[in-house]
Amino acid sequence: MSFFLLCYHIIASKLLEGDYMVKITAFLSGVLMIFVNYANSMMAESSSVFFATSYYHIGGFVLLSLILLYKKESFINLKDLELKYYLPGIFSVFTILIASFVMPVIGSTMLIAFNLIGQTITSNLIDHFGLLGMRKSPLEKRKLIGYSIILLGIVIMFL
Amino acid sequence: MLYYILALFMGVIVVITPVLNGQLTLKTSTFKTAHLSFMVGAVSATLILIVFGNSLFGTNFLSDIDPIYYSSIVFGIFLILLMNYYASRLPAFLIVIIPFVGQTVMGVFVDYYLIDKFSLKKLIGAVVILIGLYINSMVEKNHLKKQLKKENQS
Repeated sequence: MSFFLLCYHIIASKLLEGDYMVKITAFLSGVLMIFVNYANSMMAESSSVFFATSYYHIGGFVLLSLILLYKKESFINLKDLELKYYLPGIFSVFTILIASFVMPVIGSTMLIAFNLIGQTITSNLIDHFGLLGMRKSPLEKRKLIGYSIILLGIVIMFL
Repeated sequence: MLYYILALFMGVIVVITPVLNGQLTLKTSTFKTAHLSFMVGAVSATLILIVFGNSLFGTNFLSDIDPIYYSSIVFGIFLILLMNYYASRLPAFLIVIIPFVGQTVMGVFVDYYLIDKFSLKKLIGAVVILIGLYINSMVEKNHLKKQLKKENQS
């Protein structure tokens, strides 16, 4: 137990070396991600999953409209927008739907772990084949060591 | 099983979204991009609510929920701003790993105090995953250094 906590502490403190303001921001975003997902799943439990998503998106839309008006920026021009840029909005609905549906059942740690598998597979596919207009960079074989350790971690979670 | 597949699918979405949003942010601005995604989200979420929701409002909505959970929209927008801040200032191999540390810390906390799904095995698993991510980030760092050397020589 204490050995694993020590490992965690060493890696975490190594990661935060250097430009630590930016790194703490990134750390905080991870904390906030879980809080937002948890808040949404709590709301989903007391009403419904669909209500929680609608509340989150309509509320965010109103709040951001106010911010844009305050900053005297114009709204985005919908006419000459490529179709693929509409996808993030729809994806964001599905993120909240899935998180508030899944988190109370399997717990947030498992959600993060499976999230991570999906993320690793997708980001490697994007990098390897140069999808979505990103630069092509083939998969490195040495990375498979790290991936097998990640897989081992997930197996341990299931034991 | 369905739950795990959905969680996996969420990971796919989570990677694609910032790529598209990043491209759009370069063309317009941070707030406009976020505004668009919330606008599309509001429309599609309302449609889904009308089609699939049994009633527009839950039975005990507003009564037994802690008001702090209503603040999720504020934190959600704050989250987008934070992501835009660090995404352009951190090297790519750290963008996944540092938020993961934050997620596991908060995730273990939430599981222990709020959902009662905490177990030691999950914590150990998370640490092993972190070690794997760390090794890969080191591989990537060395790879980048080699590439820079090659470019300097030629």
